Order: sequence, then C-alpha cells, then structure tokens
Amino acid sequence: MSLILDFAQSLQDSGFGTALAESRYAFPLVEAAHLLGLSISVGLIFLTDLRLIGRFLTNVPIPVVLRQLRPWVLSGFAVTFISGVLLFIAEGATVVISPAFPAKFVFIALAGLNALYFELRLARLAPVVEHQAVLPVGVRYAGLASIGLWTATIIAGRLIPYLPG
Amino acid sequence: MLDHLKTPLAKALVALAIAGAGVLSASAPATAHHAFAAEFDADQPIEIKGVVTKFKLVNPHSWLYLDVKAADGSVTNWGVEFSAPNALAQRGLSKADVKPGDEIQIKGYRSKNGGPFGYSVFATLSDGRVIQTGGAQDAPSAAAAAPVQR
Repeated sequence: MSLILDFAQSLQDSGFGTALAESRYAFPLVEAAHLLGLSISVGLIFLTDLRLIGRFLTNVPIPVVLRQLRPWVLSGFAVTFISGVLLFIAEGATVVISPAFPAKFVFIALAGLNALYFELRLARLAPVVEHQAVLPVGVRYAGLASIGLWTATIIAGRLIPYLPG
Repeated sequence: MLDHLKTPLAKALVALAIAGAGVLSASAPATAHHAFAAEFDADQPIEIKGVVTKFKLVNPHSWLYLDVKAADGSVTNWGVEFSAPNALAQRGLSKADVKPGDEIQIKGYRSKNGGPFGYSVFATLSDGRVIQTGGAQDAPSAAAAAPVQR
C-alpha cells in the first residue's frame, strides 16, 4: 500500500499534477468529464442490463442492442477512465488511503469480468443470437450482476472522501 | 408499467435507487466532496493565531498549516481547511499571499476527531486583510464566526 501511496504522491508532486490540483477551473471540469462519461457508459450499461433481464426493448434482439450501444458505452468509459487518471494524478495521495478506493477497483474488475464472460460466452449462444423466446438463465444473471456491480462501484467511489484512512 | 413495480426485481431496483439517492444527497454541499458536518463541529468554534508552516492551495479543498504557541510555551501544528482554489481566488487570495513564516489568524470550527484540525471561515492575513476562506452550504453562518478585526 505504501508503494501505491509513494507512487500517487510522486504523481501529485509532478509539475502537471500540481498545476491541475491548484487550477481554478481545470480540476472541476475534469470532475465534470468524469461524471459525464460515467452517466453515458453506466447509463447505457443499465439499459443493456434491463434488456438482458427482459424489462426493456424486449422486441429488439439482444445482439442489435449490444451492437448499437457498444461504441457509446466504450466511448463513455474511455472519457471516464482518462478523466479518472487525471484526477488520480492531481489528488491520488489523498484518495488511496481510503478503504473505499481499493473497494471501487474490486467492483470495477468484477464488473469487467462479468461483461467479458457475457460478451465471449453468453452473447454467442444460439438462443441469444437467434432472438429466441427462451434465453439461458445466465443472461438474466449477467444483467443483474452488472447492475449490482456498477451500482456498488459508484457508491464506493462516492464514499472515498467520507471514509478516510 | 405499474405492474412492473410489483416484481421482486423492480422492488430491489427501487430500493437500490432510494439507497443511492440517499448516498448522493448526503454528499451534495457546495464543496462537492464532503459536507462540513461530516468532519467539523459547529458547536466548537475556534480562534487560533500562529505562524504559517505550509499552504496547500489545492482542489477540492485547500489546507493551511500553522504553528500555534500555547500560554505554556508549547507549540502545536494545526491544519485548517480552506475552500477550493477558485473560490479563494474570487475573494482575492492567491498562493503568494500566504507564505511560510507569515503571521495568520484563523476563525472557524474544530474537527470532530478532536485533533489539531479545523475548518477556517475567516483568515486574517499578515497584511491585515480578512478573507472568507470557507463557505460550505451546511457550515454555520459566516456571522457566527465573524472576525475580530475588520
């Protein structure tokens, strides 16, 4: 942990990190970008999950929903990831000491594994590809897991400043 | 649509949404990162005077550290929270205004953890200027912590 803290501190002490941390407008704008990317990626992921659960756009085949939303989900995630890296450079040393910080990344990793398993296995099963009426139960579980894990990610992220180390 | 609200999944989602809204609303104040009440105690006003040791003018909250000498001669290093750089800049405070070695007087509120920490509402600089350094929405009114010297 102290290795991560030292690394975060050196980023924060760098010229760029200090400039961003001390900026009047850049820092809040990067925070805004983090939320904007989050709303697009997680918002569309939730709609995808509701489709998997059978609560939204049930007349549209799952592969069509995935294909149309994927570029927006990935673009939103890229914005969130890049702005997150910038925020870490500016204030990393003050956030890594919170237990909510590692928790957030555990949830992101699990959500990522769930998405990978869904994309590489479940989404390629015949009933899903052929838009059959009865889908494997795993599809529904993947949707529920995704909603739960992204919700947990956001709650953990929001708790970082409230759970100091 | 209303039928959907009766399923266990919909009930779980509604519960989740309510819990989420609770978490978010608890974090809504102007400082955006944490509420005054989460860390500081409105019932413990403080007034300290000392010598600046460090000034971190950073987002989301700035921090000023000062050595405060007690009546018995012992010195304690206090840390007090200031607003974000932009809020301070709007009130005319820049990094150059507060340097190590400067005399400074702080009026504000002590932290709940009991340590030598606090939330600064007004700072009286060595040049005599009084700067409002804190304005969290749920912080006690500025008047309650009005500075001694104007």
